[in-house]
Amino acid sequence: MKCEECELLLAGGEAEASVEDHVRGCSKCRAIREELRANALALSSLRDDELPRVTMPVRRPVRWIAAAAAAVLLALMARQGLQRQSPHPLQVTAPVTGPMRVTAKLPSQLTPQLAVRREPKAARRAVHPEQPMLVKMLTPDPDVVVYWIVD
Amino acid sequence: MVLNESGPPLVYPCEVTAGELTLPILRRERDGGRVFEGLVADHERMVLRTAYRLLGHLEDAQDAAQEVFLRLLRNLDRIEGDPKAWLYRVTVNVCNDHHRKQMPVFELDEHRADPAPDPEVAITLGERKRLLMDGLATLGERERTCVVLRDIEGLSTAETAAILGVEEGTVRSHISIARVKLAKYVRSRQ
Repeated sequence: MKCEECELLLAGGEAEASVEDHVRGCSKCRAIREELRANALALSSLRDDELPRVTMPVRRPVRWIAAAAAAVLLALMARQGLQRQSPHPLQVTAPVTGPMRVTAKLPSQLTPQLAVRREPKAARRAVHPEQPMLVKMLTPDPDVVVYWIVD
Repeated sequence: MVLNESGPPLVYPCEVTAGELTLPILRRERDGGRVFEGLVADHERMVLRTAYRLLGHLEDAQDAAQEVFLRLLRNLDRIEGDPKAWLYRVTVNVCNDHHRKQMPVFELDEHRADPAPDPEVAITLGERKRLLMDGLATLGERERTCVVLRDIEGLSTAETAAILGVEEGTVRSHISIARVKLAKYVRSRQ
């Protein structure tokens, strides 16, 4: 058996008798066997190695732009809906591109036109009529919340 | 919320309460989202680690992992049982696609002198790992994939063959050749 053939069989984990016979009489192949074992150990230990950084990336800039556009669109449509005093429930068509929930605080004096659940009139009158609309965007990252103030 | 970048815009009815306008998330999607988030949490490290070993660069691996989970999201309804094998297969496919597009192929120079292993020369485990990682980049696509799945991820020959869609004998052959090439690479740089 040639050393090349022996090395290939050793690399494949073959434990044929002919391989063992060759290795016993060949110092080079004994060294190769040790080397292959060391490599196998090193490769298997790579599995437990820490990667430089293991957090999943989120392409935030693109999502933020989309989220911001969705929020502005939502706010504008809400305002437009209020101006028309539409009796229908507001429908929003927004290019939502990421897992997020959008919450917008409306000026309270405007809400009766859209409201499903109404608050007492006294409570609504208490809010200043020029109060800006506050849009709050919740993202998958609990540490990141975006607020939009719309006059 | 299900990601819907390619499809038509989603229409959500808005629930308006006093002073607050809320865009509700549909129940089904919210539950699907929970399943997806759980799968990501459970397999994120495995996918990223495998992609990193296949590509050799963390940034590329992160892009690949993102693509893998995007595909998972799109195919969530079709995957039954343990998605581990599916994720491995998609990771391998995404990484190989990426490799073909981006990475120049550094084939090991077969004519380079192959010194006999010197038992007197000892290298540290860390140095050996570094050399092996460098050596992975010199392997062919199938050989590299077999080494990553079989020797690094610790999958069986049968599992590796199933993921790659090849016979077990083919995996054994790739593994043997790849290990010899890696040994030569390490030896030549000691």
